[in-house]
Amino acid sequence: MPQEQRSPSTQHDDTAAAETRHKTTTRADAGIDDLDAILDDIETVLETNAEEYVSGFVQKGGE
Amino acid sequence: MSVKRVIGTETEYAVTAAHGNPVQWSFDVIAGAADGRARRIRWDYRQEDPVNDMRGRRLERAAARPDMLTDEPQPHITNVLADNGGRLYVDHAHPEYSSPETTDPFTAVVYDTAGDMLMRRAAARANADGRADGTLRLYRNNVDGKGASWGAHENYMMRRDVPFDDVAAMMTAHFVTRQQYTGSGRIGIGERGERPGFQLSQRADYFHMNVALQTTFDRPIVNTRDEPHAPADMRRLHVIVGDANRMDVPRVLKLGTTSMLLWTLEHADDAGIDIDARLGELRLADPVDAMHRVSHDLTLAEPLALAEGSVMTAWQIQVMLNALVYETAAAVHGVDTRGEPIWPDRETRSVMMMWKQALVDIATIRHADVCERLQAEGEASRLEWLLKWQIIERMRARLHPDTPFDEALHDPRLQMIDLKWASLDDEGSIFAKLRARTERTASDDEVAEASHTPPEDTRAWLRGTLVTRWPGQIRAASWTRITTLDDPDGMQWTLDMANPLAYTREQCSAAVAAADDIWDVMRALGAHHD
Repeated sequence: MPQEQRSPSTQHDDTAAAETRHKTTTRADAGIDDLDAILDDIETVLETNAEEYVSGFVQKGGE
Repeated sequence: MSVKRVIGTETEYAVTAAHGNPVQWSFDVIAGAADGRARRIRWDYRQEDPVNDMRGRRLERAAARPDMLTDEPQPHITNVLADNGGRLYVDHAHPEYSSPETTDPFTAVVYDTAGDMLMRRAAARANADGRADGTLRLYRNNVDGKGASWGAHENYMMRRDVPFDDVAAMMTAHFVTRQQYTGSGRIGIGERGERPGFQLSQRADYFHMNVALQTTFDRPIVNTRDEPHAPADMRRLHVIVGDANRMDVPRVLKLGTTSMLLWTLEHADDAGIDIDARLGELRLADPVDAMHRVSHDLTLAEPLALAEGSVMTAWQIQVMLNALVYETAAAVHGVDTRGEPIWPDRETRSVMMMWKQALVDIATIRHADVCERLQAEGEASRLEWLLKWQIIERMRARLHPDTPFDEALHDPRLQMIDLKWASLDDEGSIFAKLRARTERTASDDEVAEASHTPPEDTRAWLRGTLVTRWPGQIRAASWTRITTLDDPDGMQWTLDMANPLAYTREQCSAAVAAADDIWDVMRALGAHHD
């Protein structure tokens, strides 16, 4: 009897856990897809004469 | 107090343009910051005392290098007092923003970020005026990869009765190890990036001494400049080791953890803690070497040699420092039913939670492999070096799938990520594209408000308010003083504001509201005239 009573709640917990896992995975995947789009964007920024840009960034010391 | 104390930041920006030189570009940007009425207010250098040393000595003036003498009037220097009570000016070859005085780390970060907005606006106006043919660009970083470094300084008001040796000992342990969560990440190892690699901090490689007065050569981990801008029983701790972060969380942590450790020094006696013994346990055998090692160590696990012979990792030292704060707070404030100290205010509670989270984040990343580190979204929303590393590593996988990370860093496109991260120009800034993925501690609206409104609870309120209301009636100003032009009777008025926690909105708003001109305010607040 106690087992029967526990069973639905255990099942519920499992489902909830699975849902949480699913959500987490989906969110992580969405985050990564997102990041891929940002990386595409960054890549276009980097295409413009990076070598000249980096060597031209010269400062004097400060403080 | 608590995490609350008078805090201010100073940020030097990198500036570039198509032709000319950085000194001229810095003047161009600051000229862009000045509107007509406020531009002729002079900065009052009379109270600056850059050769006073916290260790109780004064450097002979003749022995000081000329670039340490910031109280000498310089013929070309341009200063702009901002409506928010801060200051924009040319410092050497960089435009610099000093925030107004604030009283907690969260507000300090809001005003620090407001500086970006003011500088961006200044550069835009300078470009629109045709200066440098409209090619001026600003960056919030600290290194050019060719040997030059510039600063992002923190200032904390603290009790003078804490022995300076204790301040130096605790701050050394903290500054060497806090890099793990405050670093903004850098491509290149060594001052000129002589060796390929990625490191946690922008600034670490430029520090060569443990404790000293100067800031532009042989930089020390603990700077002893003792120029309080405050009453005689207080000192200002001037911190020069930090990175100019773009993210909010590392900046709140940088200011918040340091403030809590200063509080701990101020209250260790009350708590019955033998602070000298505790600091002795954390004394590094070679702090400068440790500073470099921690920054270069992406495993986050390198053991650091301690003076007493054993070893500890940077993370372990941070855990010990954090525990020392808890122990002191538990004795001073008491504990609740869960054993948590009863923190006296929300800001302190938040900083202590964020510090704990940072220690958890570091532990998680320490045990994560490369794949897991690339997926670590939450940690990367708080650790700036990690987010930067993720972007560089992902880009390396695209551009050089078969080349090891360090080797691929020779590609200028990857180096460009590090520089463009720091760009204040929203279109070209890589950080701007990622900002929404980072944890914020302030909204854009709060930052915008802080760009033209002074903090209410320090003397910055009166400074900012007077500069906003009557810029044409002010002759000179400094952190501690405001001097008017002559009033109609030919008298010049000077208000001394030695205490940063006075001249607040609460104390002065009635006098300002009742005044027709700045001289009314001066008379109401007891200024003297000559």
